[in-house]
Amino acid sequence: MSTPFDSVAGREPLMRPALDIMQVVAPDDRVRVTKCDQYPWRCICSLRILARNGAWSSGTGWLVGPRVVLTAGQCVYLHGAGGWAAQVEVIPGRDGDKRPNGSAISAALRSSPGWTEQHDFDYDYGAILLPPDQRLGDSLGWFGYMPREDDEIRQATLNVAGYPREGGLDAVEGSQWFASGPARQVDRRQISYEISTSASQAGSPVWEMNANGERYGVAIHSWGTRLSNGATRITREVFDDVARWVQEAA
Amino acid sequence: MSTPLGTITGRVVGPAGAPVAGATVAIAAGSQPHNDIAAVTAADGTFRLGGVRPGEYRLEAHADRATQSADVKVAAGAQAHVEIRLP
Repeated sequence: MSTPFDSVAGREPLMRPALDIMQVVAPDDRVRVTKCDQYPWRCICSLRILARNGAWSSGTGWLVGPRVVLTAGQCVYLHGAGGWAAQVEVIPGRDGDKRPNGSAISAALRSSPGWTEQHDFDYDYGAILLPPDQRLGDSLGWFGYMPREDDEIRQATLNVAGYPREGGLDAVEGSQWFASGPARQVDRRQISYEISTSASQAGSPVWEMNANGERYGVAIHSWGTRLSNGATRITREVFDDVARWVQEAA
Repeated sequence: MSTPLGTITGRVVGPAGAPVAGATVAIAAGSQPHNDIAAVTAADGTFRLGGVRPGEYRLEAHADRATQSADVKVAAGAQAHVEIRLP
């Protein structure tokens, strides 16, 4: 890449571009996050999900409060695999085999009826409430989140980081990867983009960083197609649900 | 959603046909929007991806730096089965 990352407005400053050797949607410009013990990367969590039918899956989530990890609905309520997960292990800032910030296991899960009852991607969001004695956000911090206007999202650089199932370009299982770019399309409940992601990144934060360096999650990564990837937008309705869950686990 | 969703089940095996536990399997590309969650194979190498929209998909299995893909077609409300042999 000819443009240094930290010269692009709103893009997270990272040091090392990845090799362009893998096609995800657009040419893959993901960067491995190596400072997983630092904010905001330590707030992004690898998820190990145990379904009620005994099957395991993996995904991504992000701290939005001391005890709340926001994620995709598909990471907490698994259609075709018994519904609500039996448990989810949350590993914030996982870096391969390293767990610099520990981990927590929870079965206190939340989602929207639009996902659990209708299986509608417009409502693919959920949360993991950590046990009362596992207030990981107190020491790690958390992301802000807010509903944004269409034009604000169209003009923003969107940042996405999570835990791809193949270990990213280094093939290191459990490594965190980051990419950024503009929105491709902004709909009432969805945002699509050509930012490189891959499976297991469901639930990843999609955030913008303003000129003051403040970060706000604006969507939750959810799905992919051949042409683009996309996320559940944080609408006012989603915001209110998340705020209620944060209050519930205050 | 009005269209019944399908399920992809399968098994990941090694070059000699032995089941591979702990491999990750996910949809890498598809004709329809698909979940970006990954399944992890059980001790017998089996996996299951539920809630899949009818369409054609490319699955990728990954374990210990070995990757293999397989194409699968999912019909409405049906279960598609695939076996993936890692190199």
